[in-house]
Amino acid sequence: MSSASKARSKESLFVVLVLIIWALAFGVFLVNSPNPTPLAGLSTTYTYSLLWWIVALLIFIGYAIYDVRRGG
Amino acid sequence: MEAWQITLTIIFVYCILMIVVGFLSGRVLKKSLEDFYVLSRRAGILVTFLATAATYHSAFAFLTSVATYATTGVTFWVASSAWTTGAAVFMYLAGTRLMRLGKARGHISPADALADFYRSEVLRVLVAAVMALFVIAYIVVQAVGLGLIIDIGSGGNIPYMWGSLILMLVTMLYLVLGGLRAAYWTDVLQGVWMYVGVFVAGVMILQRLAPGGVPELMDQLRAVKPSLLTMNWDPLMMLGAIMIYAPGLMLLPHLWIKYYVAKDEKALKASAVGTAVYLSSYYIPTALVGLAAAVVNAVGMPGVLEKGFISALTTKYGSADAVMAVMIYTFLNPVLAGFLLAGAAAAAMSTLDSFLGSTSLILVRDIYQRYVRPGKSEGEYVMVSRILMLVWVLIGWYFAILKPGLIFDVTSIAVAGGLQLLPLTLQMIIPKRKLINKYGAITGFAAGSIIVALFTSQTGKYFRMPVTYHAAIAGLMGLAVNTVLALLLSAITKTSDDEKKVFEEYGKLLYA
Repeated sequence: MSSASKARSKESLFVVLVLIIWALAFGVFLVNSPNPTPLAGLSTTYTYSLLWWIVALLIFIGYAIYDVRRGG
Repeated sequence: MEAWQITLTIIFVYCILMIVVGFLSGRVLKKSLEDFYVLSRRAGILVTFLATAATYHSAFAFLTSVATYATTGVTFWVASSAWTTGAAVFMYLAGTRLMRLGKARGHISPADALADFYRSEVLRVLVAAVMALFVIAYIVVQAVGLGLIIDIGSGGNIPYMWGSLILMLVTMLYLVLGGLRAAYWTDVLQGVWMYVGVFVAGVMILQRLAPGGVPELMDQLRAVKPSLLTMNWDPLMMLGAIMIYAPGLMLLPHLWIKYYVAKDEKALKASAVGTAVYLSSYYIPTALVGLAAAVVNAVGMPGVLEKGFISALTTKYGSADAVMAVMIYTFLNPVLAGFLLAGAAAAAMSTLDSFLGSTSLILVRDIYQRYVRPGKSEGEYVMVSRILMLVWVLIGWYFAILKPGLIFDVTSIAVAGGLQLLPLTLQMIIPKRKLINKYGAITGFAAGSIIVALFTSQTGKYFRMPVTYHAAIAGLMGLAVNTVLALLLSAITKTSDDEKKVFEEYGKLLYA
């Protein structure tokens, strides 16, 4: 497999990962409640969404570092 | 000096600073369209990142996010964290491909790129005209935001109507002096100013209203209106909002041309990562202000803000968008309020300048230069683009005077229109198998755009249509019809040899 096609297949995997992560954002409807959590008293809804955002952001940053380092 | 005079003086000093930056950038401006619009494709990471981020975040981010937090609660965070991060990921994946194609084939606008790929001048004019029309909604909301900032920052001494016109003309002035180069330079300054400003506002207002910090604010809110701590949209609305504000917004011309600004792919990719952090984290401090405003609205603060003050603002200004400006003006000292409201103006102006610049670009490059007066000097085209900017300023101002409603709702019309470019663009940046040809592209895009206009309440009422409850839903409907029609028409019509040849060339450019 050439380096160009390897890069393309890694990009395709990242796109699939993005779709899965963004689908998980809708998991907020399963925990939709104003009840407080240990995280600064935020509601369950807010906490789930905040944690989702941190995970999504970290995965994106991680992929970008990997991609740019290998010359992508 | 009275408090409003101090606040207003700082806002006007900020305006003068922007004009000076515009003038200075104009002195290094070359009279070519490529430099006027895309900085000769030489911007580094900082300029590309801050120009994109400051352009994405507008009066919407500073004003309507607070208003939406105050009225729908954490719903706004749940959706906006997904769409802002999604917008940056879209920029990373699609932007780099658009940039590579643009550099190789000389594109500087969406219409340019799509007309080249689909070999269709009809598509060029259609995309240019439809985008210019949808963009009006975006210009209107910046005009609304600027009017609110001056009205409240001046303690009502400069009315909304005139405040809006003054700041729009300031924006146009620095754009005329320096072209989009001025917009890129001022975007850097404005991007920093509005980001620092929103965090300062969030922390200081939280300290004032909930000294115990976030836990205290959450307890206060739980006591007065717990529903604001939950998600109040249905999944379809959330999907629609993510789609229109992630790919939809990133496909509008003012952001699309940012992909052509970066000097190389590495700069664009690094900018996309910075954009993700900047755009999404911006909504953390606005949540603090918006949720604090909801508490004050529910219980009132005698002698400071009345219970139900948000309803009073809605009656006066036609929407709750003034909440942020009122919170800043009421709870912070006049000097700080001046700096922060200047930050709010920066948010609106940094988007307005890009819209005025990119809209005039579309109309001049894709229509005037090709069909009205081809072969004229670059100087003439730059002059015509400046006249068009003034026309768009006046149109935006006129609709702003009519107080069109919540900025969030009006903005959604424009980005729902932008979403209709998605099927055409995906085919262009993923040239593996030819699924959409020019007939499908034209029909699908036209149908999707018409559906957005017909089924959105603000525009559909003129056609007496049974409208959807939000432009985000109309955007999804348009996208579905657009995609099906594009695929169907392409399946039953013949793709020209020229189109097939260009399709292969795009494949080589992206996959070689």
